[in-house]
Amino acid sequence: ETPSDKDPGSAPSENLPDPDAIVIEGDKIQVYLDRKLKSIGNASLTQDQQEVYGDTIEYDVQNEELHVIGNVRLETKGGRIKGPELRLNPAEGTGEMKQPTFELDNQLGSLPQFGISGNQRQDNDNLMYNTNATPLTQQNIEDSGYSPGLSRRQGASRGDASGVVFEGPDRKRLKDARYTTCEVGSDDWYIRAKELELDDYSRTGTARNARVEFQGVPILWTPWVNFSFMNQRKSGFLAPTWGTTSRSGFEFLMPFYWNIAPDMDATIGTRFLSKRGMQYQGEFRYLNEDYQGTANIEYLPSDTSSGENRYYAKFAHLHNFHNGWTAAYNLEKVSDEKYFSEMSTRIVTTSRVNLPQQAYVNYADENWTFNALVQKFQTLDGVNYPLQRLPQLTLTGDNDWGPFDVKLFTQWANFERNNDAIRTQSTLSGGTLDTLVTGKRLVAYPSISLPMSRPYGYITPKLGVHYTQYQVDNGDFTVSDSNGNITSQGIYQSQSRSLPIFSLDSGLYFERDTRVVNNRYTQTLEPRLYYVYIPYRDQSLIPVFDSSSSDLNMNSLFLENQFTGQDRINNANQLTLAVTSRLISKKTGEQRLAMTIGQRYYFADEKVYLPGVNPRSGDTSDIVGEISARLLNHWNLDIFGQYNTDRNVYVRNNINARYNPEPGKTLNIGYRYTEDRLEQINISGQWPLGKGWYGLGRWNYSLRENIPIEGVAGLEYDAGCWQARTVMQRVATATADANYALYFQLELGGLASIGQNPLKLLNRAIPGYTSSSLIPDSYQ
Amino acid sequence: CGFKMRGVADLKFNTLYIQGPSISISKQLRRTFTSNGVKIVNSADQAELLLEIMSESQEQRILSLSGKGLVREYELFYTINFRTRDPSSDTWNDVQTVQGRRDITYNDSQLLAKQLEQERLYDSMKEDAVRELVRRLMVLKPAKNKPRAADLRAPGDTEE
Amino acid sequence: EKADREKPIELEADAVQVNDAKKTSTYTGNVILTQGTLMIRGDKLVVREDKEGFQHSTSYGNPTTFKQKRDGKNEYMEGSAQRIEYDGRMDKVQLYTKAWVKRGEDIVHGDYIMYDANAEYAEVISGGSQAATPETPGGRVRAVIQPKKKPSDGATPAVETP
Repeated sequence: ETPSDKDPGSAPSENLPDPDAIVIEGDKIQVYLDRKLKSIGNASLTQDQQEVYGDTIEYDVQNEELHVIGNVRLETKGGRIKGPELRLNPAEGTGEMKQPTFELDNQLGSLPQFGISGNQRQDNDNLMYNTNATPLTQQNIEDSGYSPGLSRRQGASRGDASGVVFEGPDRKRLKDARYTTCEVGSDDWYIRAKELELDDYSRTGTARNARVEFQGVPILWTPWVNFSFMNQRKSGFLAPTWGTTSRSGFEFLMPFYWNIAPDMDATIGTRFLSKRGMQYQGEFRYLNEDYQGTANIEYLPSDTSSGENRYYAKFAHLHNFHNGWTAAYNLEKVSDEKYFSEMSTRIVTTSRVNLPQQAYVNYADENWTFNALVQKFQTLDGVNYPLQRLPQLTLTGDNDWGPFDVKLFTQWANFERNNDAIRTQSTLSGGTLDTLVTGKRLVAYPSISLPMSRPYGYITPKLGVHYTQYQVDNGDFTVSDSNGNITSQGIYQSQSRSLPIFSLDSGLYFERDTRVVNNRYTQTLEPRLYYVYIPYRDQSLIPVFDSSSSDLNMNSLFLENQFTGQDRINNANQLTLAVTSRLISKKTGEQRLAMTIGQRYYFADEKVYLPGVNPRSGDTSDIVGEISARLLNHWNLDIFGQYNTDRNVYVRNNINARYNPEPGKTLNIGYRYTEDRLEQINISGQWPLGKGWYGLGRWNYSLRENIPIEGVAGLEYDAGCWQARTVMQRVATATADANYALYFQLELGGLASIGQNPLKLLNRAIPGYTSSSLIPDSYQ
Repeated sequence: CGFKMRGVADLKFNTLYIQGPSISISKQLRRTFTSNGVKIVNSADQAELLLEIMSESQEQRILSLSGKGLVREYELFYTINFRTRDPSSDTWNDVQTVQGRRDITYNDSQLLAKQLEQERLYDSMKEDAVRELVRRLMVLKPAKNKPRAADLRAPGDTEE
Repeated sequence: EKADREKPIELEADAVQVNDAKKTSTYTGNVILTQGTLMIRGDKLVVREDKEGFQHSTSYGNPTTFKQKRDGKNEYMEGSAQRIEYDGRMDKVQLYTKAWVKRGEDIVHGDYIMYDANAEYAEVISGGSQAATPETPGGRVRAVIQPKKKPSDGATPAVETP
């Protein structure tokens, strides 16, 4: 019965060691059969993924106990723990170690920083809500103020403790632990916790009775906070933020993040405002692949300054039925008109005049789109009351029919007025239009075009009939000029209007190879000719619901109708000529430079115009020129000019240059001029000052009003494992005095950010700004 | 001065598969590729090039303010991120970005009209983005191992 | 087993030389020594009898091996090395260079292994980097222990008969 006599000579082939076999190595091993095994001299024991190293390892075979003495190192999934002595049962993963120091391969990440830091996150909710509202993309739900493209630096992190108890293969509990992301040798900051639990399996850490010490000074205490390794969402207190503003005084916000479910979370915060009292804030978010949305509520009971209850509420939801149908609503309301300017410092918020309250149902497929919209606004400035569309139904079609392209635009809309809307509206010429006209409008605009295109050019004749029918209520109106005397008076009539529209678009493409410095480019020369004929119809008694004049630019030069909307269709017998030249890199296909110049020639006088606007004089439009360059030497140039040939004067003139050689270095210089409306210089930039310091600045000065519009000055310091930034902002506001805001923020290695988060301000104020926590060290 | 009419585009691929959810420019993209002589196929293995549109985003930023802190101009951005892959290799090329930028004057009293103008500018940026994306793909070099008709045609053509 | 010492020693070999003066006999050519449950194989084996009459053997081979049943256990100790010295009196085995000793599934590798059957104690010492073998890269000593099959473990446990 002796085991089969294999060739005794060769060692038994350990083909694939049993994964949970224990392998012990060392300089010398003493074996007490079936009792104990002792390895002496840089001993090591490995089982499955766990590895233990030490001077001597005693392994008690009976109860599978491990006792390691002398610079012990325990390698685990997430990192390693070192200490003088370790007792461990490798099978159960239980045991304990004295005076451990630990290193984690990645950082305990803080939760994505929500915008609940004193004011809502308004970046992508523009106040001009377009009809098929841009869906709440994933991007703007997780907007955390970091510039796109650069992900957070994931460095290692370390710490020590008085003792660690292993409670299972993935769970460790450290007593009197210290944790930091700073390299060994620099203890600039650490989190000290009575107890720190690390869980490799759920990749989370929980600290009890924890306080943050920065340069030895305790700056934050929290009874309970937890983190996630890989930025997963975990309920817990977020780092508090504080700051001061001239309007609301000192403010302190303590948010709590509640991870309700994988697709649902909420942030509840209490915000103390020294001049106003305690404000409660809540943001609830949900996202799954069928629908997504947010609900924001802010409530300040009995504001000490004004005594009333003040609130702000926003509910947004987008539903995707995946069969072409989508639906959404977006409702916002504030308790009083001063709410934003008094409760917030961010321009994106304080500049809001009309809060959208709208809902839409949308359908789109290859050839048809349908949109049903109900939209009205809460107006905050008591002056500009947009018309309400209750509802507007739009159906558009775009089908190929043989070589022809048949398009159809049909719309029915019922325009009503906000019942506390005032009679007078300003006209484009600075005068006023007094009317309370409302009405229903039906539009049908079928058109057929024959696109004939070859690689070297194209010709596209297009013919359409624009039919509109109005049903007008209380249509009397009075137009007066800027010094108040009446220029025209009457009653808008229910009527219909139909106009044939003919256009001929044609263009040629010429190319040649050129070489600039030592790069090979294709240079194009693209002349374009665009003729439009629309007969004249008297439209002076047609009410204006959604028509206005659009900016003259390369886009609007090639439009049939110079007026946006449907209420004014210009009479036209005009020819537009433009020439574009592009430099396209042969290697990457990128467009390095594009130059365009264009002008329109009128063969008929302008007979259709907006209320209070005097007709065009002269038979040519302004000359429009654009240059946009994305040069290889990191310079971006955008120049736009609109020159009036009759008066020999620039109507609009914008020059913008940006130099952005690498993340952390950006410089923007801009001059913007619009006749009688705007003349501003703005200079902004971020530049390293050496040794981890960065200077930040923006200066926006209005030459027309001779006052600084916005000034931002800041300093940022990157010490590798922590970043601090302080930003001062002065911005002109509607009320007399400017609003000053001071931001101070301390970012501790992606774990906690303390203080008011100025990143959103910096991203807007300094185009190309990159937070120093994202700049790879190589650029420092 | 050396300019000549543009000839037929020298195609580096004849069939293309567009991967990823359909976005607002998908139809224009297919139309432009077809008019440039590229056949859009609906399965990856028949395609000589794979195009994946990773993301599409529209953004609006305040460009200028009046002395009273009211918005005078907005800056509009339209950005798509995309990447390509040759079916023979299983690694995607780096992600490329195409970004359009327009500015639009703004006046609170013309909100509805400015909304429509803003939509028109986004549509115009989308058309430019489609043209730029097609240009970027046209310069892609063919996979080394697969001979292209174009390559065989002009053996003397120096490889850039 | 302890009982082995009372057992007679049988020896097979191709040739033998006896040297009465030194009380040694040298066997050469696939030598097999069996004494009770103890079995030693090798290319060459020298047996020496000490004053008290205990037999000591030194076997050489590439490798030479030994096998012995454990006292009171239905389990065998097996070992191999370039040279094995067996001390009959102390019932102690010493294995030199490229040695390993195996007991059931557990195995120990080292440059020198001393196994004291009475005390059921073994000591394994590494020979430093120049004594590296495929199983002991870097020349360090190495022991592989199969964990006792946990009841939860589905594999059929190797039943250890008492």
